[in-house]
Amino acid sequence: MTRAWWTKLHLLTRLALFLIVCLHAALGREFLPQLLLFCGLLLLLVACGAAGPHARLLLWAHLLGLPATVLLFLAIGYETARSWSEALSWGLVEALRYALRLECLFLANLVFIGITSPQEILSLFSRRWIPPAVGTLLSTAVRFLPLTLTEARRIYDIQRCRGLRLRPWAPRTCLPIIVPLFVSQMCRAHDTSVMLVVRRIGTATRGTSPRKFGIADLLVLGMALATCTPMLF
Amino acid sequence: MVSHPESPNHPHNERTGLIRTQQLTFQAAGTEAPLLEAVSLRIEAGERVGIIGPSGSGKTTLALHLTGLHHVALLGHTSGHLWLNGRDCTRCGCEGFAGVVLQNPEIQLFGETVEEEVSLSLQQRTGDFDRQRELCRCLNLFDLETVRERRVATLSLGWKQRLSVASMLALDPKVLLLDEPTSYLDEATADMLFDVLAAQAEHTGLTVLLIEHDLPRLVPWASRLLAMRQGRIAFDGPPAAYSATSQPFIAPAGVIETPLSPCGAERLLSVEGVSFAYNAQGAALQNVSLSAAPGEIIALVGPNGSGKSTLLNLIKGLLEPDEGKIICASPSSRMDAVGLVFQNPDSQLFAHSVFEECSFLPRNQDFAAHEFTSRTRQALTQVGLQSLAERVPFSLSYGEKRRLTLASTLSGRSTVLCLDEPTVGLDRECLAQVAGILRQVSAQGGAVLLATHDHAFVEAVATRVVSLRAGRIVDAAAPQGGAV
Repeated sequence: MTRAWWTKLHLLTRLALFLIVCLHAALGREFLPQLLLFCGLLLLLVACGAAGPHARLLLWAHLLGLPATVLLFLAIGYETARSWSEALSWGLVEALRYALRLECLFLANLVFIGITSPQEILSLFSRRWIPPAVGTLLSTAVRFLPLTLTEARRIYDIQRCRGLRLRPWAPRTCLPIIVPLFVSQMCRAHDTSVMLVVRRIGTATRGTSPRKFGIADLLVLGMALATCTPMLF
Repeated sequence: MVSHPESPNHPHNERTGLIRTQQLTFQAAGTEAPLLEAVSLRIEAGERVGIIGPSGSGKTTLALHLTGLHHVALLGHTSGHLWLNGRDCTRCGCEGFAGVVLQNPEIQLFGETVEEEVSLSLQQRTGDFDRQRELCRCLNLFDLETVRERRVATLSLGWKQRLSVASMLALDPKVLLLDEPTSYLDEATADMLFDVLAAQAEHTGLTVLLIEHDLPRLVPWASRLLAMRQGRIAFDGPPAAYSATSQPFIAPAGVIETPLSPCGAERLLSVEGVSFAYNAQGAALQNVSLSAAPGEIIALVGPNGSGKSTLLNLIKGLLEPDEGKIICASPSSRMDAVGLVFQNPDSQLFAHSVFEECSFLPRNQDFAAHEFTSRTRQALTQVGLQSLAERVPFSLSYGEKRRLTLASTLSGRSTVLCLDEPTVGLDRECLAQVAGILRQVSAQGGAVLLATHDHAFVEAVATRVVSLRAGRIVDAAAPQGGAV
């Protein structure tokens, strides 16, 4: 099986791209570039296969989260203008802008995790002045997000079989998901820590052999910097 | 001062045997009864030790001590003596001594691809060796060469379990502990795993400790059997001696007369030409047709990835078929008419009492208050948990939790009961209880579908066996070979 080109990029390139995208999402003011970035990230997420198991969960998170964002900005708009029409025209646009920012940050995170293994992240921290345990802790923590999402979806399916009906306005209805999720993640954390000890990961003296910088890395980094710098300044 | 030769501190005794314990006792934090009590044994290099016993008898606790992982995996106090490789490890670990393979392979893999996963272990290994040669050897042990470049996330559970064992062997441990490693494996893969372990023990002197409930598979493989009961070793000797004295498995289902064929009978469930695909890469099920009559217990068997669990999820209504249809005779919706019991009870328990947990489904199905109370009590009685109704579900034993999840499905209005791997992690007593409950459900006119790898359980309870392979039904017969 051939691996996608973005998984062959140097880890530092991927990390730099991730930071550039995050910076752009957080600081960019223009609507169109944000929308383009969002579409690009969405495509990349689907292409790298990181969206598959979480697609429905993401959809639900957005369906519940976006109206809440709009309402928040409408309230802020009304507070400023004391007029519902102005609040609507200002609030909707601002809400969309902020929702896009959050989406971009979220998608960038998922893409980065989807195409980067803990082993690679660990290799970044294999420096003398960084304790191996810290690197292991960070890489494992990063890996927990997608695993937790998958687990949450599995538990949701199980409770749906038992007639669960989620009502966002009644937090108690979320308990059948939150409690087993917490328990399973605690068990997973325990088992993972035991396995890390058994596999002696994080205590190795030999480092990994990270990929070398290539033309593709330079091209991608150059393009990213060239497109993002004017937007930021 | 020279100690007595029989004394645990005598240098000769300390260095005899790869693993040695004397009066080893372990008490978990916050509990009164010890989980291990006065365990004394000696294990030599190259032994194949099968560890058996009921749930909660101390198998895993003992195994974690024997591999020197008790200090990281258990919270409590260890007393007595434990020597690993001639070193006193009663209160410390022994780095690089043992490898561990747990039931769930998902949490054991850290690499991105199959090759990286095994290489990761080789990087941690000390001593001089040819890394490329070792990598090839470990991959070839489990036919992993063909999936060398595959991303770990895209592998099935069976392949992941093969990979986790290969990664552990790449560490070159002196002892390998496997805790119910065949739970997610089909027959052929489980056989291969046992063969590889036997060969490793013979050729490399690897000591294998294997916790397993599947006695018919374990007995011919093991060179020694340790049977645990209430924290003590109840039997320690050759498997043949244990087999001669052990109890039969589960009483056959002969007392219940059930129709082998649904033809002519009223059908509770009808699956007609169902096909389903998770993605464009391949179909999980292709043109599957199946029907279930009242009183039937249908076992779905087949290798990993053959579509058993997918079929159950489709029948329940968690997934919708791409083609074909699924019809339930019940007037209520399919979600209500079909009950689905999942494998891991910890994925669903959340309430503060067993009664509350069990009444969750009937409450959601909008039964009247008095009716859901009576249904809950009836279901708890059916699984023998009525006396534990006020207990916190998390404090139950694993077998009790499994019965509770079964009760919490039986308390609804389902007429078709589906179970996904109902035997995983259960000891003989629990298995017999579950078998009894399934027979009761079938005798009351319900239909049962169970997806399992456990052929002994299938023979004991099933009235019909449906074999799936690559998403298609390849065979349907009575358990003893009779035609449907």
